[in-house]
This record gives sequence, structure tokens and C-alpha cells, in this order.
Amino acid sequence: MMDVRSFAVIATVVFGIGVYGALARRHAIAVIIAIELMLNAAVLNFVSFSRLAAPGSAVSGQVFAVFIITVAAAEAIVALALVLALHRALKTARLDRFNMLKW
Amino acid sequence: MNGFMQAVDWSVFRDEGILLAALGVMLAVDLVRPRGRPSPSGWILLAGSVLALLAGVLRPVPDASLWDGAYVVDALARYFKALFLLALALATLASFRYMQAKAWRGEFNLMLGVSTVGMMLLVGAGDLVSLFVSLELVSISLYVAASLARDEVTSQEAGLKYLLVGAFSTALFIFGMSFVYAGCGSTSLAAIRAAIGTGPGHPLAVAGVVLMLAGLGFKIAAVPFHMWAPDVYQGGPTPMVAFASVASKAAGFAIMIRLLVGTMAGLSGVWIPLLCVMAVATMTVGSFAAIPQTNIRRLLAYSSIAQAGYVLIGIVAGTPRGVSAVLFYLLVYLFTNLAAFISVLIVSRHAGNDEIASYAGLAQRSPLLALAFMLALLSLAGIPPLGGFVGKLYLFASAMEVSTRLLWLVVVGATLSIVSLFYYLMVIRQMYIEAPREPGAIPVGPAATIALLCCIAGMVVTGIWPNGVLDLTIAVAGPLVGH
Repeated sequence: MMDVRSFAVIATVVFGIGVYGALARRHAIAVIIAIELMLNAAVLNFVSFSRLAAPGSAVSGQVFAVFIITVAAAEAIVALALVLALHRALKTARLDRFNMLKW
Repeated sequence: MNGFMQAVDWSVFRDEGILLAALGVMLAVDLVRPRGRPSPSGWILLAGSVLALLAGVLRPVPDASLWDGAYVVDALARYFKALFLLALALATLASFRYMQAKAWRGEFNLMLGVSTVGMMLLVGAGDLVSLFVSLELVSISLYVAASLARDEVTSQEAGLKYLLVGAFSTALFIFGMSFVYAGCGSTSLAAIRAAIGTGPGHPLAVAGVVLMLAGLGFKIAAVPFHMWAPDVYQGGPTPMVAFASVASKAAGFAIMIRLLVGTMAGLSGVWIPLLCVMAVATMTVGSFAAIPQTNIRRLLAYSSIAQAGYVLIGIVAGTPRGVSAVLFYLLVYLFTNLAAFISVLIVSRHAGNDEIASYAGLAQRSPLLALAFMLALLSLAGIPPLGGFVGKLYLFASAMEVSTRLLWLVVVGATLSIVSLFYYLMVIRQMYIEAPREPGAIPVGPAATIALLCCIAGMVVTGIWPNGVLDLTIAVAGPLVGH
């Protein structure tokens, strides 16, 4: 019998790695990947909880997981398009070079 | 499955449908429009939003609940839908002349419209799934709108920063939702309210609420999730900034009311202290960071951060009075901040920059603009007899009523209002006392004049005769609290 706690711990570790990456990395693509990790940790949580913690409404957790995957794809597309446009103009994708606006 | 579809009464989505139909017409017309002909997309968006607004106000959609409460229509949803549509109509009306020469206005108007549809669905969401999806519909279309000014790289930089911070806080928000789901065993808000009850709450649900506060904090630009606001306000296209600064912020407060006050009142021991800290930090950082700004948009960005802090006081109170004060203030804030941004839109376009020094002698160059901007700044500072004064008074009074323990919050708020008066008066001094740097009048188009007059009327009416609107907001807030 799998324990719900072990899934939650793994998801939290993945989420933590994502938070660290999003805050510490300076390359736009690396930050986007880190945010994807955070979203995937939430997906993992929803899927494992739907089985182990909330059997009464298992479907809504699984539906939520599918929606997160879809929305994350949409978000990544907009993000990558913007990185591409900025790279074309500035010849870099490092966030610390995007400083035309005062931080 | 068939019965699932047949049982749905689609007339519940009438107002969203009107706006969506307008967006469809807009796409079709832009597609078949011959090259070189001006795009009518602004007019179509304006017509759609005004029609939906009139339909919603004159013939309100009756209360309804679809798909086991995943989508609901209630007084709160109707109030906020009218507010979003009003913001969209005024922002569109004011930006006709600005958008005239822009090649990207079709896409831009579409994104603003889609974002509004998302907000209208968001305030009706009664389930974490529908709440998340409509929230992302709002956010992603605003990210695109912020970065659409292809002629300026700063717009894309603003868009990317908005998106990265936004996606980060979305991730916190849904990670928190997953714990609430585990702790309460459901994603439906009604079931979550029942599971939380009045007890101390499942530890997982408590952890979830804390994470979700971060996501909400981003939407309303509360400290420490405010860093995107000055950059987006400075770099984004002005009509988008004007719209997002009022509508997106109102949407954030709408889900705060529904989630925290309406659903998680049982966990108020967790979120009230956190919101108190957030409110004080937001008011303080917003007020003091605005002082050294030389760019009018960054100044307004920090001012709107501080305003979010004041509104949080009403949420902290959590009573029907507190919620109605929030609703009232958001309406006043709509007229006030739109008046400010419409003035910025016109002056910046004329001057070619956003420096506060460009506003020198505005009273001589365009009396209407200077008057509208001055009234907006005074209303933001909370000077009678404008709406901002009544709104702030009502927010502070609602907190005092709950308990004297919130008195310190009110004292901080009132003190920082005086600090904020300092930088608002600096701008007014430029407009009314300094001599103009450049000669010549600044022309204001007829559409923008109408929008400005609507905003001025809104600020003055809510300030002098607030009773009608106050009664309305109390009627909206009453049934939400105390289930």
C-alpha cells in the first residue's frame, strides 16, 4: 500500500527545486523550466491525492491535473514566444540583461 | 453525458455570450477587411461591452448554479461582471485615438475582450478547477496584451516579466489548491466550506491556504508579490495598463472575497494575521516607494500597490460591512484610476515620454485633462468630497467595528494616506503651478472626453451621494458572509 505522505514529500521536493531554480537562475529558459517543475509538482499532488486522500471526488483531481498540463503548455508557448522576440532584439536571453525598465 | 449537456441552461451565460459574439464579429471583420481600410475592432469591442453591460444591469441574469455549483450566478458575480464591463468600455472608449495608428490593435482588442470574458467566468467560479482555468484565461491574455506593442522592446520585456512572476505565483496557487483538495477531499467550494466548518481545520488545508494567499497576492500586486507592477505599468501599452490596473485588481479581490470570506471563513485564524501583515507591508512599501519616482506610470504603479493595501483592510474585517466597503472602494477606484490613466495616455502620446516634468503647466494646455487628473489624484489620496474619501472612511470604519484590535491597522492606513498625499500633490503642483515647458494645447478627442467625463461624474457622485451605491454593495455582500 502506497502512502499518501511519500507522494506529497516527493512533490514538495520537486516543487522546492522549482522554486530554487526560478529564483536563482538568470537564464529565461531555465526559469521557465523551473516554473514547469513547480506546476508538475502540483499535477503529481493532484493525481496521488485523487487516489489516496480524496477518493470521494477522485475525478475532479484527475480533471484538474489534465487542465494544469494544458494551461502550462499555453503559458509556455507565450513565454517562449516572448523570449524569442527579446532574443531577436537584444541577442541574449539572460534576464539580467532585460533591464530597459528600471527594476 | 447527453443528459449532462441537455440539462444546462445556457442563458446563464448571456452576458459573456454577448461579449464573445462581439469578439467573433471582430475577428471576422478584421479577416475580410480590405488592406488599408481602418479596423473597426475598437467600435465592435465597445459595442459588445456596452451591450453586455446594459443587459446585465437592466435585465440581470437570475441566480443559478450549474454543474454541481462549478459555475454560479449570484449578486457578487453580477456586481463584478458589471464592473469589468464598465472598465472595458471606458478603457476602449478612451484609447480610440491612441490605437488608430497601431498595426496590432486588432489582436490587442481581442486580448482585452478575452481577458474580460475570463474575469466574468472567474467571479462565477464555484469550484477550484473552474476558478483556476478562468484565472489563467485572464492572466495569459493579459500577458499577451502587455507585450503586443511590437514597435517597442520595453513592451516585450514588461510582458515577459509579467508572465514569469505570474506563472510563478500561479504555481504557488495551484500547489496550495492541491493541499486544500487533499485536506478537504473535494474541489467544490461548497464542499470545502462544509469540510472546514468552524474547527481548526486539517493541517494540509492550512498549508494550502497559505500557499494560495501568495497567488492571490500577485493578482492584486500586494507586497511581496508586487515587483511586476511598476515594470508592467511602465512598459505595457497604456490602454492595457489602464484596464488591468482596475479590472485585474478587482478580479483578484473578487476571488479573495469568494475564497477567503465566502469559503474559508473557518480558517480565518490562519489568513487574517497573514493578510494584516500583507496589508501593512503593501501600504507602506507602496506609499514610500512612490515618493522618489520621476516617471508618472511608475508613480501610479506604486500608488495602486498602496491602494490594494487599503482594500485589504476590508477583507481582513471579513464582515458584510467590510466586504461591502471593498465592493464600494473597487467601484470608486475604477473611475479614479481610469481617469488618471486616461490622462497619462493622452499626455504621454503628446509629449512622447512619461516624465512627471512633462505635466508642467497642464492646466493651461488642457484644462479638462488637468482637472480630471487632479480629481483622480485627490480621490486616491482620500480628500472629500470625492469617492475615494467615502471609500476609505468606510473601509476604516468597517475594520474598527469588528474589534479594537484592528485599530492599529486603521492608524497605519490613515497615516500612510497622509504620506501619499505628498506625492499626489507634487504632480498637482506640476500641473497647476509650474509654467508649461512647451507651448500649445493638448487636444483631447471626443471619445476620450466622454470617457473622462464619465470618470469625473463617477468620482463626484460616489463622493457626494454614496448612499445608493452603498445600499447596493451591502445587499451584494450580505448573503456571502456568515453561512
